[in-house]
Amino acid sequence: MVYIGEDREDYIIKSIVMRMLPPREINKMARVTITRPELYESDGSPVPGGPRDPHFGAIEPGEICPVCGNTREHCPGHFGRLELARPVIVPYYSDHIYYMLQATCRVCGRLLLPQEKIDRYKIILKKLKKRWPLLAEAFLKEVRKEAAATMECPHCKSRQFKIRYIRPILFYEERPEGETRLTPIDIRERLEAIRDDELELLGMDPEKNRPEWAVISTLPVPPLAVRPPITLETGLKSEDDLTHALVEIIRQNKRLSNLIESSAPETMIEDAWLALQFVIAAYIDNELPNIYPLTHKSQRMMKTLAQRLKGKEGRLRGNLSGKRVNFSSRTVISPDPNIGINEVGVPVEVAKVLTFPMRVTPYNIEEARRYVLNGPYKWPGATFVYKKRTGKQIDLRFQRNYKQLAESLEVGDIVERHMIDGDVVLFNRQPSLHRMSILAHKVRVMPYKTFRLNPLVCPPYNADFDGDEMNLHLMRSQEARAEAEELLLVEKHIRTPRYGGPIIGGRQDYVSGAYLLTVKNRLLTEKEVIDLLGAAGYKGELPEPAILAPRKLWTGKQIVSLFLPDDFNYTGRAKINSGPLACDSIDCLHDSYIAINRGKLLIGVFDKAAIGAEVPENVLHKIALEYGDAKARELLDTMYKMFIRMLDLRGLTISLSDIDIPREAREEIQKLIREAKTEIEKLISDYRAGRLEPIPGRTLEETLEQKIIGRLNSLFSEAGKTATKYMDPFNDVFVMAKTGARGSEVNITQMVALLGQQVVRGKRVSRGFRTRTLAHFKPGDLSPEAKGFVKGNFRYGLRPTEVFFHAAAGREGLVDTAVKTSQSGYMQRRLMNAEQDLYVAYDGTVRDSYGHLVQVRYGEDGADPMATYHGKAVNVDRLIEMYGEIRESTNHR
Amino acid sequence: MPSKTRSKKRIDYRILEHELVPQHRVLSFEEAVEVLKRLGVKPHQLPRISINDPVVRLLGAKPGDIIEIKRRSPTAGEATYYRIVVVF
Amino acid sequence: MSVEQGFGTLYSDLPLEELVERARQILPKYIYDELEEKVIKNEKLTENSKRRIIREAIIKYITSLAQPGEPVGVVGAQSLGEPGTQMTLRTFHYAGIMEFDVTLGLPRLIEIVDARREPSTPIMKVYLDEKHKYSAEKARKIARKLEYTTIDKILDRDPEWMAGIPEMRLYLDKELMEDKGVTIEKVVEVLKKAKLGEVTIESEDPPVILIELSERVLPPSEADNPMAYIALSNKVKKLYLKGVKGIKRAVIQQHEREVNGKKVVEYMILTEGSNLAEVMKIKGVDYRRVRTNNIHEIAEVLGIEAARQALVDEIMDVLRDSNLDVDIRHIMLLADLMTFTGVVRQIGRLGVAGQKPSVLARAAFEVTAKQLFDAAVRGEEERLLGVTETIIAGQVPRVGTGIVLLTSPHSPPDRAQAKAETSNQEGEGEKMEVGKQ
Ligand SMILES: [Mg+2]
Ligand SMILES: [Zn+2]
Ligand SMILES: [Zn+2]
Ligand SMILES: [Zn+2]
Repeated sequence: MVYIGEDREDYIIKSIVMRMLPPREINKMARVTITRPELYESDGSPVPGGPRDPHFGAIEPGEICPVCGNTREHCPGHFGRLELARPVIVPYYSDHIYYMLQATCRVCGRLLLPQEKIDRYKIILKKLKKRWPLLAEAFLKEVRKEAAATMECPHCKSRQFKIRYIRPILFYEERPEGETRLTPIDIRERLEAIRDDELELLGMDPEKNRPEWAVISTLPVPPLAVRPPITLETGLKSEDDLTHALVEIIRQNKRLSNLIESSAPETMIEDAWLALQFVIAAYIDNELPNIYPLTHKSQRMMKTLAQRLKGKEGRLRGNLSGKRVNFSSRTVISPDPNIGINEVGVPVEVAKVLTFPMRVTPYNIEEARRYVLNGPYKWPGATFVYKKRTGKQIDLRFQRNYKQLAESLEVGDIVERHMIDGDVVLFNRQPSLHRMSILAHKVRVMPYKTFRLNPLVCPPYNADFDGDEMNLHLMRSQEARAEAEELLLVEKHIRTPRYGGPIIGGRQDYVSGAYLLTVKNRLLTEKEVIDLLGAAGYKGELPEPAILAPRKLWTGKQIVSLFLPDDFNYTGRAKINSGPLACDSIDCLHDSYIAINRGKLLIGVFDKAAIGAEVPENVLHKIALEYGDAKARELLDTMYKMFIRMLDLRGLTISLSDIDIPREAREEIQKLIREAKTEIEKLISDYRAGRLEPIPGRTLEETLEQKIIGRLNSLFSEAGKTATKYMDPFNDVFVMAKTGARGSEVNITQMVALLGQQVVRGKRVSRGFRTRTLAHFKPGDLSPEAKGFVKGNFRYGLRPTEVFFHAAAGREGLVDTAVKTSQSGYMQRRLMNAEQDLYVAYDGTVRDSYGHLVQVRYGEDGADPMATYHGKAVNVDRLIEMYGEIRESTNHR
Repeated sequence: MPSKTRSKKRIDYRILEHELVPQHRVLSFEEAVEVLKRLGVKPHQLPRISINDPVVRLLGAKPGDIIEIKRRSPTAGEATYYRIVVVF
Repeated sequence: MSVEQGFGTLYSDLPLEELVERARQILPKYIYDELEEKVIKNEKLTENSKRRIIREAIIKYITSLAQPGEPVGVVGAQSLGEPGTQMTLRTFHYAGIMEFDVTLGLPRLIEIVDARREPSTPIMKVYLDEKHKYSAEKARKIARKLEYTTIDKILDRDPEWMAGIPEMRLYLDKELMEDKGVTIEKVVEVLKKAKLGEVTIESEDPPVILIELSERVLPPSEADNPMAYIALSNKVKKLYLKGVKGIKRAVIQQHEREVNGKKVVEYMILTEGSNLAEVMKIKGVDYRRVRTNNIHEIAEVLGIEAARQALVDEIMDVLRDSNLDVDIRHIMLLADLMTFTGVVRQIGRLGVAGQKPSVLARAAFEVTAKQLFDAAVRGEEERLLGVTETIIAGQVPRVGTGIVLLTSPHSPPDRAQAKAETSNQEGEGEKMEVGKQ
C-alpha cells in the first residue's frame, strides 16, 4: 500500500501534447488486423480477426493475453486495425480540411497568397503565437479569409473554384462544368500537396501533424478493455455499443471491398463508400448533423466515442472532474444543541467503518494496542494492521488472537483504527453552493443512527431536520487533517465572504429565547440563574443581584453580560425597533435600542438584530471580528445555550387562541373589507362607463387593475393593523414575528384577518374559463372575489373558490423555484468555469493560473470581504466607539 | 440600438467627461518599464484595451502602449489599473 | 481586541505625526480620508485615543487583507451564484413609476453575465443639464426630441384612399400631435421631402392632409391596384418626423432632492430603447451622466473602462433590487475578468470559459469532442496549470494552499525509522529539510 505523501513528484504530469494520430502510429500500435465482422464462433470462442479477437487484450478472469502474456489485471489492452477498402474523412477534422481546401491551390497545393505575404505573415504569426494566442487565432482567421478569396493561384496561376462543405464530411467543388463531389481520395491528394512550411499559416502544427492524416485508410480499433462485453444474469454475453458500431463498420467495409473486387458499377461503389464514411462518422460521434445515427434494434441510439466523453455523465465531467471517494458516509441529520458548533455527532456504526491509518510511534503504541485488543467489532477498535517488518496486511475480522497481535505491534506499523472522538472530518450538505457547504467538524461518537448537528450551524449548510441527509468524510492523512482543521473548521466560517457578515448564528428559538431572557421585565431567581448558567457551562461567581429584597433577583441582561468581553462596547437598534417601538437613543424606554458598555448590556433586548445569523455588524459579528472567531465560538457554545434554556424554563408554544381575536375586531375587519369592496365596485362601474382616467402610458384595463390591486393591498395592511391592535403583545406568535425568530406581519395577518389577493404571473388571477376564472362567477366579473381575492383567513378557513386561488398562487411558487434552480445552477457553473483560476498572488495582485494579471489589487483595496465590516475594511466609526476618549477640557465646556 | 458606425463617427471629446469614463493616460516608455517591473509581468499578461477603443483613439495611443487608468473606487477611494493597447 | 495579536508593540510608541504618516502610506485613500476627517482633525478626541485609533486602523487594515492564494475567483462565483436561487424570475414594473416593464432578477443577471448584444428591455436614464432639469416644461421638450416619431404615431386612423383615384388623405390626431410636439407644417414638410406628389393641407382642425400621388410613385398601370396603395400608405406611415432612432418612448420622472435644506424638484427622462451616442448629442441633456443598460453600447461609445464600470453598476443594481447582499469586490473581479481582453466577453463557452489556454478545461466545460480535435490539429500542449486540468490529472491545483511550492518532503517511513534508530532509540522528530522548489 502506497501512502499519500510518498514520492509524490515521481507521478507529476508536466504536460500533455495533443496531436493527430499518424497512420504509421496506427499501424505500429496494432496487434491484430480485423477482417471479419463476426464476434464468436458457434462454440462460443472468439473469432480470430473479429472484433473480439483475443489479441485485443485479456478481459476474462484467468485469461492469458496472447500479446503480452498477462492476465486481465495487468494486461493494458492492445489496439488493432481495420484496413479500409477506400479512405475516409474523419469528422471534426473535416472543418480543418475545409479551411485548407479553400486556402490552398487545387493544382500545386501552395497557400493562395503571394510569396512575400506568406513570408511576412509567418513572421507576424510567430510573434503573436508566443504572446497573444487569442490574437494569433484571430490573425489566422484573417489569413485564411484572404487566401480563400484568391481565385487565381499566385504561384502556378491556375484558376481556383469555390468549395462547398456539408457537415460533417461532404465536399463539393463548384467547377464551371458543374458541381463535383470531392472524394476522400481527391481530398487526400490535395492535402498531401500542401507544403510543411505553409501549414502553420493554415492553423496546423507542422512539427506534429500532416493534413492528409485527416483522411484515414486504416481505422484504429480500440482494445477490449475500452469496450468490455458484459455477461448478463442469464449467462448471455452483451457487447458494448462500440463493438456493435465496429461490427457495423466492418460489414460496410466488407461490402465495399466486395463491390470493388467484383468490379461493380462505379455508382454502386460510390454509394457503399459513402455509407462507410457515414458509419465511421457515426462511430466517432453519433450526434453529428446530416448523418444516419447508429441505433440498436430497439431504435435506441448507440453511445459512440463522442457520447462517452460528452456531458454531465461523460468521461470528462463525470469521471475525470468528479472523483468518487472511499471512507465517506451519509445519513439523516438531527439537531443536538448540546454539542459544540465545531462538533458533529457520529453513530457508532459509522465510526466502526470509517477508519484512520494510524502510524504506531513510541508515544501512541499503548493506545494502538488498545484498539487492536478491541478488534473490529467493538468500538473503539481497529480493522487492519499493516506490519512494517513483513509488509503483511492483517485483517482483524479473520483474527482470533487480538491479544497476541496487540503485543506484536511495533513502532512503524500502521493500525487501521476506528474513528474516535476528536477526529477531524469533513461534513457536507448538497447542493454545495458555497464554500461553507463543506466544513470540518470534530467527531463525537454517539449512539443511534443519525448525524447530530448543532442547530446554530444550520445556516451555512442551509439545513433543516425534516429528513435532510448529509455526507461525512474521514480524511486519511495528517496533512489533510491539519489543513482542514486550520482552514475549514466551523468556527473559522462564522463570517461569510459573500458580504462580510455572520452566517452562523441564532435562528428561531435562539432568537425568541434571547429576547425573552433579556427583555426588561425578566427577573430571575437564584435557582433560575444557576440553571441558566449551568446550561451555558459557566464557571465563576454569580454577579450581585439586581434586586436584593424581598428576595434576590437577577435581570436577564446581567446574566447575558457575564459572557461578553470586558471591554466590549456596542450600540445599535434591536429588531423590535420599528413601528411604535422605533427609537434611536440610548435613553430608550422601549428597550429597543441596544447599548453595551464595557461588556455590560445596559439597555435593549437581544433579538435577531443582535445575535442572529446573517445580520451584518451585529453583536456576534463584531465579537467575531474584533475578538477572534474562537471567542465568537465560545459565545455560541455558552451564551446561546442559555437562550434555548430560557425557553425550557418559560415555555414557548402557540395555540388557536393565539391567532384568535375578539368578535368586535373581526367585525371591524369585515367593515374594512366592505368599504374596500364598495370603492372597487365604484372603480369598476367607472371603468365600464368609460369614466376612468387612464394613467399615462397605460391602457384603461391596466389602470383599473392597478387601482384595484392598490386598494386591495391597502385593505390588507389595514386589516393586519386592526388585527394586531387586538392581540396580546406577549402572545408567542407575536413575540416570534417581532423578534425576527419566525414569521412576519404578513403571516400573522393571513392567520388572523385575511389572506388577501392571490397573485399569478404578477397579476390578479385571470385565467381559467374564457371570461372568468371559475364557473362560480358570472362571465366578465371583475370583482375582487372573482379574481383571486381571499377574504378568509387560516383561523376560520377558506371558501372553496378561495382554496383554489390560494393553491394556484402556491403552485406558481413551486414551479418558479424549480425553474430558478436549474437556471441559476447553470449560471453558477459558468461563473465557476470562468473564474476558478483566479487567486491572490503574493504581491496582492489577482492572477489566473496562466499568469494573466486580472486585478492590480484584489477588490481595489486588497481586503478580503470576509474580514470586513459589511464591506468596510476599516470601520472608523467603530474604532471611535471602541477607543475614542473625549478630551477633559471639551467635556467641561 | 448599438451604432455600427464606429469608424464613421467624428471624434467626440465629450465622452472623456462622462462619469463612467475614468481618467486614462498613456505611460511614457520609462514609466511603462517601471510598471511592468513592479507588477512582475510581461506585456502580454496585462489586461488589454483595443486600439479602436474610443478613449484610446482620443489619446492617440499606439499598439504596445500601456495606459494607466485611475478609477474611482467604492472600496479604496481611488484605484490604478493598467491596460496594454492591442490591435484587433 | 485580539486583532492586535501578532503585532506586538508595532507602532505603539510612535508619535502621532509619524503614525499619521504611516497611515497615509499604508491605508487606501478612502479609509485614510475618513480617518483624517473623523479622527485626526477631531479636536474633541484625546491625543492618546487618536494614536490608539490610528494604530488599530492600520492593524485592522493589514489583517483584513486577502491572504496569498485566496481563491477569490471561486469565492466570487459562489457569492454571485449562491443567492441566485433566491432571486425573482419575473419582469417587473419599474420601481416607482409603473410605466415600464424592466427585466430584473435572475433573467437580467444572466443576461448581463452572458454579455447579450442587446438587453431584453433596453432603457436609458437621461439626466438633464442645469438649464433644463428644474423645469417640467423643458424636460418634456427634450423628451419629445428624443422619442422616435413617425407619421403613424400621430395619425387618427389609417390613411384613406380609393383605388383608381391617385390620392391619399392623412387624418391627423390633434392631441397626439400636441403631445409629441409636431406641427402640421412639419408633417407637410416631411411629406414634401418624400416626393410623393403634391401635398396640401385640406383642413387645420381637424388636421387633414391631402397627397396627390405623382405618376412617379404610382404609375398609371398601378393606379387600380389596391396593393400599390397599401404599400404607399405603409411607406407614408413609416416616414420619420423627429427623435432619436431606437428610442421608442420617453417619459419624464421627477425627483425631490434636498439642497441646503431646501426641497428642489428635479426632472429626468427615462426612455424605452437606447441610443447612447445620439442622445449624448442632444442639447439640454447632461451628457456626462446619461446612462443606458446596454453594456456593449457603452463599450462602443465610451470605451472598455466605462463598460467595466457599467457592468459593476448594473449587477449591483440587480442585486439591490432583489434585496441580496453581495460584496462589490466579487462583482468588480467579475467585471475585470469579463473586460480583460478589451472587449466585453460573456462568461460562457464563447467568452471567458471558452478562451482558456487549456484544452482539458475547455473540453470539460462544453462542446467536448470538437475541443479535443481542434487541439490535436493545432498541436496544443496541455500544461496542466488551471484548476480543472489539475483535478483531471489528479494533481494539486495551484490556488489556495496549492500555491505554496516550497516544501519539506517528509522522509519515507523506512528512512525516518533508520534515522530515528541511529540517533536515538526512542526516535526523535525528523529534521526538516528544504526540498527542491
Ligand atoms: Mg429539509
Ligand atoms: Zn496484453
Ligand atoms: Zn498553384
Ligand atoms: Zn425608545
